[in-house]
Amino acid sequence: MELLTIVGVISQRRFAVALGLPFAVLVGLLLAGMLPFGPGPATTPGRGLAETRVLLDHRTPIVADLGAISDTLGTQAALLAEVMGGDTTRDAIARGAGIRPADLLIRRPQVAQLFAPGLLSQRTTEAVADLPAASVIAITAASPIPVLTIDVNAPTRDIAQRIATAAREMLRTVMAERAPTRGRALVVRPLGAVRAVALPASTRSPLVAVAAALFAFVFWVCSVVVLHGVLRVWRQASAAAATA
Amino acid sequence: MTQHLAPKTPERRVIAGIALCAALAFVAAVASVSSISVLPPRIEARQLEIAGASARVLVDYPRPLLSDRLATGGDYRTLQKRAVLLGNIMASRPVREIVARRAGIDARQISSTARVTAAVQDAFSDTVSERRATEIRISASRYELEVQPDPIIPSVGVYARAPTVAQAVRIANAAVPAMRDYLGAVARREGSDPRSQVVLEQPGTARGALINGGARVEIFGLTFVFVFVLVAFALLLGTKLRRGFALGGSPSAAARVPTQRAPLPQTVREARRRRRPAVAPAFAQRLRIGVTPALAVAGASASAVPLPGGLRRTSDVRLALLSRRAALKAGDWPRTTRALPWMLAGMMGIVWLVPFNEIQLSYSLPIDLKLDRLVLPFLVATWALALAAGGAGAPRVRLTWIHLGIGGVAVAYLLSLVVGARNLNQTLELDTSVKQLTLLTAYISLFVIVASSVRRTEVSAFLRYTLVLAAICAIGTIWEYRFAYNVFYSASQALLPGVFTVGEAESSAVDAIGRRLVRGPGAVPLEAVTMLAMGLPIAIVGLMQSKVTRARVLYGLAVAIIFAATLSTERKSALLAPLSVFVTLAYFRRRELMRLAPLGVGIGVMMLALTPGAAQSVVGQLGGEQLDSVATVSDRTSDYDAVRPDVLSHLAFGRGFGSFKPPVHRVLDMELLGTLVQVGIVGLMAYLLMIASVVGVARRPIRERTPRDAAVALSAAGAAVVLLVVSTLFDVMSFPHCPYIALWMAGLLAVVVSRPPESESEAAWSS
Repeated sequence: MELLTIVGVISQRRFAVALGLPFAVLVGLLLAGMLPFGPGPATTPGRGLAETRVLLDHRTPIVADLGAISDTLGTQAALLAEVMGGDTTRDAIARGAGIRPADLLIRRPQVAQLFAPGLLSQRTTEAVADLPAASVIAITAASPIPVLTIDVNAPTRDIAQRIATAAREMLRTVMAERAPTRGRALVVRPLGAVRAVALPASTRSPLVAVAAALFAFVFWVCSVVVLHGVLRVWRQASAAAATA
Repeated sequence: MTQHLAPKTPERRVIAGIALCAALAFVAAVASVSSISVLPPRIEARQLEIAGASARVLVDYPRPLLSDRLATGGDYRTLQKRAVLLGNIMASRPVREIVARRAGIDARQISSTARVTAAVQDAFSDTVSERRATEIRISASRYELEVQPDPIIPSVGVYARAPTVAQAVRIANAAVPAMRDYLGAVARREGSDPRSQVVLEQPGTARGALINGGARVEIFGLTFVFVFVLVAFALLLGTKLRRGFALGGSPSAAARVPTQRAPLPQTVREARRRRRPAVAPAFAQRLRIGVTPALAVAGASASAVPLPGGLRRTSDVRLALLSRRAALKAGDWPRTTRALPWMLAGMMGIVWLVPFNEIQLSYSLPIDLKLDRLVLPFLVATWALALAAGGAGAPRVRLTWIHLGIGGVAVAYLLSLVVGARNLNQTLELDTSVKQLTLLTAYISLFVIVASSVRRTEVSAFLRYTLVLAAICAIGTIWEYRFAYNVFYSASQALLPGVFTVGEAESSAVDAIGRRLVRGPGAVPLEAVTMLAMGLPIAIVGLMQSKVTRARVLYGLAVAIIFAATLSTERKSALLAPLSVFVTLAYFRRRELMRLAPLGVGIGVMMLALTPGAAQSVVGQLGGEQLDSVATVSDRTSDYDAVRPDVLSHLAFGRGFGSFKPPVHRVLDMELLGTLVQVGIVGLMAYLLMIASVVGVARRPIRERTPRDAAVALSAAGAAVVLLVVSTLFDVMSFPHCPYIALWMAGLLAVVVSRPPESESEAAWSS
């Protein structure tokens, strides 16, 4: 029944409602990028993703040597992931991949939280992770398993692959540099090749423009009804005051 | 002079009023984000930006273990413990002073803290008053250094807070050198070899960013809206009072007060005929062309009887006639074509039978879109459009003391946010608090819609409908107790499309003291207890008032099922909440309740048969020793001590609505305590007055003993008392089923008290 009254108002204000049609079409065309001005179609540029995994191991593989001390390897892998978050390693990886160091961001691992973190650390970690960079690399350890995963997100598949390869090499270098002696050094073994994939550029679906146009029209119509209500109350108040 | 300056026409007065509200709100909003001085005149933006920076520190031996295959687990355990120790030393005063010196800031303006991250019992990690007092002190500092030792590997997270990113980065970067300075100084002083010290390595420079983006806009907006609404309300109240005063004082007041509205014209022609004498002046007045106000008024009053609702145009009259015809055809719910009552019924069906707070859209969105917050906007939009469209079926808002009580809560809660906004911004909690306003708005919206859309003649039907929903909810809860199967969660999972994620209900799980987790459609058992207890008074009142045997049997069955369902949750509150209902009803209807005593025996037997073992479990928990030893009781009593620093530091207005929430803060198992902490004494009083307003308003219909009205009033009063009682037992407002039901009942009561029965049909035309 209320709907009937609302429809009545819409029919009474049909001229104002009709004005909403071009408005809705305009919104739809703007979002579809069919007009020379406005935000245009939201095109997500193509990206390249690469991933590779490495195993932190003894010279004699621990899978083949039951006598080897392997219970610290998980911790060492986690620490290695931390070390990789440094500026020196970032510069070396960028050089190895042939990109500018400023274009590369290494996402640092977070402190393992057993309890709720404070808001300062939580907000800072989120904000810092969102810092803009053309390419982002994340090195995570699957502690207590001594496996490190290198994930790269870069502008192209080729760059992503180069960064992942350079990062893997950097892991080896770091481990070699920090070994007390060559004989006691741990080694980094690749677990398969670097896998890379290109994500094609995508444009916003035309359905979004249609939905937005529809929403804009509904919003317009609702606004007309609400405005009608405001004017009605205004007239009533005036009439009441005039009568009084 | 004032008379001369005062706007002459009503339109101008309204415009002047809006302009005044906007001007005052703007000044207050500007003052909230800037410091204003009069001499010399100056506006300076307040420092509201907060930046954060983070760095990592690795702890190692001088001969690194990182790539040593001979490193042992013992080595790392030792190093990790040392890292925890170093982290705590890093947060101590001597190191903090070195950090301040190195970062180039005043040492008195920086605070530091080390968080407990080790695997300890909850009791040690939960905030106690001493630690909370320190946290409050630290949050007031301009700069902050927070140290988090990693609980697994020998590394430490360093976080800094400062007004600018550069300063935050400087502080975070200064932490490791400062620590090295300190350790070197200790080694020199104690004569130990500095080379045998642990090595601190910072893998990369600190990274920083702004961490409270948008706070300035939020504070400005909050203050503007609050002051605007407050001033507008004050102006309206002032105008009403002034008008009443003026009319009351004048001898001809009675003559001028329109005592009766004119009936709606039956035809368009009649409307035209009636309007004709006033057309020219009214039209001229509207356009303000060459007509003096006096003439316009004279013209308007020349019409013998004004049209209702200020109808002037033919199209308006046509619309009113259309609306009237529709209203004649639209009966009372459930035999009605009106959309709003049906939408309300649907909403309440969701509230009673769907675990909506555990259902949300699978998409990642900035806010958690729970099911109720997806459904309610449609209801609100329809209501707003119907209100704007006007006509016979339009909702009519009529103020009652309950409206004022709920409005008082809204004002007090908003005030706590406005007053505490800058402090909340400093503690990075403003966002969390502002998000909580959505929930508050949802609660209030439901009440306003119910109170303005439901007809007085529909209240009984809605009350019966509520009882049916409560009984279904109770049967489902008993089923869960008996068969460890939650039908509400399972049905939601099965019926809702894949875009929704439904939470899990582990019906066979038990809590720390061995009680089953029977929760019905709620998120926790206590929520189910509260829902059912709020439905219980409807059944008992029905039982008291029914004269027919069949009705008595049905109501008695409902009482037994609902009470049994509350007991099936095995919570102590399952006895306390229904008991509060009985006490409330006994206060108002002692004799009638006593007459039901024989029936009570039968109901009790049925209850025990429905949920075998549940009653014994509940009663067993209320034994003296049991009551003292269980954690659920000691946790609650320890809350009193834990919140002292927060209460005392923001006694009047609290620290801000919605700002004391887990996981950052302790879980407060008492709504009243949480309210005191968050909205202060003012907010607590408003909350209590809101509940009192329901009971107070219910007293008149209860005294008058009109069966239909008294039933609503008794049920609403019972639900309000349940809300008060459970507010001392858990944080009830965080579990939306309960406030929705309480406000639904309050809304039905508001309908009964705000609309006199004889004017129902007439009221339909008086919009």
